Amino acid sequence: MTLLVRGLYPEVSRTNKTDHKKFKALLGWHSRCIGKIGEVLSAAIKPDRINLNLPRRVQAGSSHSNADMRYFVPGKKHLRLLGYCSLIPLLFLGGCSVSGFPLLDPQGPIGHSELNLIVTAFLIMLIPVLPVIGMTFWFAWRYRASRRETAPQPGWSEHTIELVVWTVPTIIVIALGVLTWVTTHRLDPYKSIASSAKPIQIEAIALNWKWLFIYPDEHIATVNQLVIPVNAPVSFRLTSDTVMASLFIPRLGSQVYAMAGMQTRLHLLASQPGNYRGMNSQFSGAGFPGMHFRVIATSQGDYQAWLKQVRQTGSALNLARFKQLAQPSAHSPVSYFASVQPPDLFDQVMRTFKPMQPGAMAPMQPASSHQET
Amino acid sequence: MMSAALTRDTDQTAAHHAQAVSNSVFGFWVYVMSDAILFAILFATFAVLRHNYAGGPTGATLFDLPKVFGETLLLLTSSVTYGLAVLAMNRKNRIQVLGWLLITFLLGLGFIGMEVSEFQRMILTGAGPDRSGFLSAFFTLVGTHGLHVSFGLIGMLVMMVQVMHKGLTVPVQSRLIRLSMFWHFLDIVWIGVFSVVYLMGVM
Amino acid sequence: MFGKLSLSAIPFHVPIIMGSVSVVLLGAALILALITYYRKWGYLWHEWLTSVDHKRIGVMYIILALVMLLRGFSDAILMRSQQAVALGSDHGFLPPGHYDQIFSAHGTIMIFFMAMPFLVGLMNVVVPLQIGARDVAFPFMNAVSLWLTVFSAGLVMLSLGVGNFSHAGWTGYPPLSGLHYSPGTGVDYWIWSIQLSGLGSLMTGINFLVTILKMRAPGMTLMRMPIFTWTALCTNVLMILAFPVLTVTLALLALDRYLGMHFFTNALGGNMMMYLNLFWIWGHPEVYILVLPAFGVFSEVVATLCGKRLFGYTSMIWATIAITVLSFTVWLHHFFTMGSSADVNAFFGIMTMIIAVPTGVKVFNWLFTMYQGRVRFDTPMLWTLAFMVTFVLGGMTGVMLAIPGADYVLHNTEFLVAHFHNMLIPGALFGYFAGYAFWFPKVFGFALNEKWGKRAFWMWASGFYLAFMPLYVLGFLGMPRRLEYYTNPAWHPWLEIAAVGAAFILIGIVFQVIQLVVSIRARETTRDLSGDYWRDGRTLEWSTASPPPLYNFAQHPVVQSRDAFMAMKQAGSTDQRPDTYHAILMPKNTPAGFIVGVLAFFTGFGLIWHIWWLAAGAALGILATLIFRMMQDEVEYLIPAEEVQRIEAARIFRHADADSYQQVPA
Repeated sequence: MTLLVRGLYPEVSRTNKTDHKKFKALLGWHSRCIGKIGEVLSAAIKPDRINLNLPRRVQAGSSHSNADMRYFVPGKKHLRLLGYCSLIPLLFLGGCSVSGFPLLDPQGPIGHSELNLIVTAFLIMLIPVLPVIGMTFWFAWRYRASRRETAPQPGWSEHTIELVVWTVPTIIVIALGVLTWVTTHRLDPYKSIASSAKPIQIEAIALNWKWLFIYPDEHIATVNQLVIPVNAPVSFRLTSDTVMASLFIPRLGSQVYAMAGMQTRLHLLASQPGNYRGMNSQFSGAGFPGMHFRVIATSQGDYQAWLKQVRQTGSALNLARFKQLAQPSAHSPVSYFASVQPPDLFDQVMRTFKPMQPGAMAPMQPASSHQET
Repeated sequence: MMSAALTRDTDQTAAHHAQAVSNSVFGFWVYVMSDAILFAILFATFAVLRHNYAGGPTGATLFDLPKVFGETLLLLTSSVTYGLAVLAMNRKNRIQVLGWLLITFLLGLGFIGMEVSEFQRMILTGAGPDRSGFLSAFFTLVGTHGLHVSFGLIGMLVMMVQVMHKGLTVPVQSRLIRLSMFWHFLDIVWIGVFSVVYLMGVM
Repeated sequence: MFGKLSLSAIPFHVPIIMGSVSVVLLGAALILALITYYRKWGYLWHEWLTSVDHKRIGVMYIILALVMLLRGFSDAILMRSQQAVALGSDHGFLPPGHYDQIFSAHGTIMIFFMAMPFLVGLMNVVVPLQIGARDVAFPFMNAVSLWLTVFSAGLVMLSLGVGNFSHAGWTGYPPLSGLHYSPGTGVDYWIWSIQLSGLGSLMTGINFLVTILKMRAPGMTLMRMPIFTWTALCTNVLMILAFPVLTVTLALLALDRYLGMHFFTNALGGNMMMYLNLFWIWGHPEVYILVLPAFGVFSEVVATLCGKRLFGYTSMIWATIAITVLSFTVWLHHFFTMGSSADVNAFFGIMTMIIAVPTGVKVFNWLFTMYQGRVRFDTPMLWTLAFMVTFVLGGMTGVMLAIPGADYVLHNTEFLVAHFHNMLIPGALFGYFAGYAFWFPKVFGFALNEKWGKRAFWMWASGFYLAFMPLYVLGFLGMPRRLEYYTNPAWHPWLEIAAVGAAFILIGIVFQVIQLVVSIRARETTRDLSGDYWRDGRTLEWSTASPPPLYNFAQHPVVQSRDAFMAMKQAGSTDQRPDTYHAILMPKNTPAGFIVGVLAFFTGFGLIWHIWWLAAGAALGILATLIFRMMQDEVEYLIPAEEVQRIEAARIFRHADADSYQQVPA
């Protein structure tokens, strides 16, 4: 127990006398808290021994009495142990910091907004949830059948309770509803990110089981590696040559499905340099576990240097090479392509599934109410 | 004493049977509503896929409206003749019930025959359900309706046999009522099919 | 001749599968041997397999559910174990391509063959008794529903040893589930097993709707019905409205696979997005189908075991009706990331949040039933308390996921997996367990051992938290779902904790098995002689003997208020006996339901393996059976009045003897 508390409160030094006193007080406080919880739980599961005082008629034919059944009733000792065990998960937190959690330490504005949204929603939801959990334990203990008979007290009226339980959640839902409407529009993956920097266009094609990233403005392409400059908005067009996939870079923000014969859009921005994990989050078959890639956000200078490197070392991506790539394979190594022929390979891949309708200007989109940005 | 008890028992049995008929008819009605949802989803599917020709034939090039009109007349008339069968049933006229059921059956069979020949023609000219999303939706919606009609025809054969062998007993009448609900329901669905698939498809 | 079927369909070279199959076959052989040894085949056939009695059918549904719980949970243990070890170059102990089948089977089995049969079984046993009826409206159709479900489960079990199961998840999204990317038999097993059992569910919905609306005891208006019957009514409405959608969706996928159509294919005019819409238009009401009967159970348990009438009966009913209606307006929240416009996503997000309001109202109503009551901590109440605490946590995460902006980073991660298990396990499964513990003495006439029940509860409750809270953390660590192996070491410790949680639940299940064995062995000393096992029974099922006679009620109770049995007790009219008894008309047993189930199995099998003559023949056989059944006139028989009197008199005898009954401590 001592070790545990020391682990939780590392600032409490072992040598300083005042600290030591504080430490012992803390330990005592902990012990009393957990003991109290144990008492409550212990009372909750003690057998019901009290005569319910029902009219004789009703009791006639009673064939069941809990009181006579003996079974293991955990004592305070056991429950204190249980209480300590519940602190075990905290041990793990010492080893992790928030930065180890992609969703809790986003590296881009989209991710930041989404984290704020999650935290806000969580805190608002605690308003009904904590009282409910508290009341469950409280009522179960306070009104347990084994307590001594007490005269019924005037409590809250049924009418008041009904009013509160309908209106308070409704108000919360209205608040969350407004939050939802505003943030859904603000965080629409199709919405481009306002920035003075020039957007980087990426055309991502999901294959089995790798990602092909085409940089149409730079006429290069890569497999399983995305290099982007920091603070430049990245504008994705996504499609699939195979089954449904979902492009997801947890550190940066939203994911969007990639589907054959159509294009979806995604806008992200990396505000810090780093090496981030990207993945497919929609199960797509045997090679799915290997369908992840690295996202490298670097300075503008390093980005240009990388482009040069790709142009020097990359091979050619033509239709034949693409067909090769499209063959099922897992754990594909990172590859570079110095040229992309034809330049509208992405559109061609879409058209293999959905030939253009006569008179149509653009290939099919999932939601016709989306404005092209 | 004994006969009073028996009478009470018979009354109870009769009440039980009346309740059973009422439950069966209501239950069948609920089934018909679930079938309506089934068709609604098929209509919705058709609506989503109605322009997905995939470079293949469209409704305008495929549908033979006069023939479809003929099919429609057959089916609508068969609803009328079934109605006449039910009226005959209410008059307890076995022969007439059988007669009108037979006519309804033949009209329905004619409808199915025309529909099958239409499907055959389309498939042989390369416009089968595997040609495009539009055609898949067309064949499935119209075909599901045709399948329901076929089951209705089988039901009619069974009922004709039952009327012949058992007469117009209470259970037989109850089944005839349920079959009539089914048949009229299919008629209504057909009106939807005719309007949404054929008429709108040709425009 | 045998379509695609050949001996190579049996994976002799995969030890894990051969091991599992051997266990299943040994278990089945043991049961068959025991039945033969005790010479119970006649009894089994005449009393159970051909029964149309709702009580027997309900018990068989629940037995199916419990057996399939074991199978579905084995899948879960395999998944947790695999994920706990499959870090880095170690791809785990499962052969490649099996994890995909396991998670697909796990979801399919738990929803269609564990949860659905469990709730339908509880409705079967309880609803006719609660409304004072003698059986359901269509007893034969009830039997057909049961056997369709049983034999569809049989198809899923068969897929373990003959061929594969689906790799495409329990949701079966195309194009992955289409012919091109899943050419084997796996998806076909999935399609036909849930299609056939879905037909059974639709029939159950119709059956119980008619039963509840048309066969209530005289005086029982809708607003005097027990709350479990109300939730059953709403569940059945959902089944009638939702299952036709699933029927069509599966049929369209089957047409794509069998006849080369283009509903959901990538090319030639298919639209895979339509599948997601159709599937979830069924799928979301389905989760309310799973949860509403459990809510009904909790309502009954809280009122009875707190000795107080249910708080806010009327508002509970309106909340249930609101949930029923709203459940059809939220389906898009299952695919916010598919690229819909912000208006569409926001609308469905808001609708999803609105549905949390009536659900919350119900939770508060249960709490305030406890308020100023006398809370007894019997096993059903423990399940209820755990539900109240745990379900609201799941609801909270649900509201978080309902916000599209949050969903964009949480969708398809382990956070989502944690959320829906957080709803289904406490929300549905704990409810079914509570119902099982609550009504077991009524159905079988003896007690379920409380000690083992409580032990099982604590293992399940603690196991649940250990198994699923780490999954929320993993969501924030960016771990996607359905991963067979992974390279990120940060995920490893949480997956290990989750595996420990699964082990706790395993112990809980073992305790439940022990509970059953111990209870059955002690049954002579724990007989419920009064029928009112919990002493505070409020509804009509507690007025019958335990177990109830075949006909339930010798005469239809006349109902004058809500909580009809409690009213009878308070008026002192529970012991009243009629002057004369009447003969009672009951439906005859028939093998036709069982036969339809067997033929459905062969229809499904034939379709899966492309053995067309078998599929067509068996389908025609079903038609012939039903027509033959329709031709029969003598489908009922009369229980003579003297027989009824004898049965009722025997009960009075036991009732009078009850005062001298002494329960032996366990």
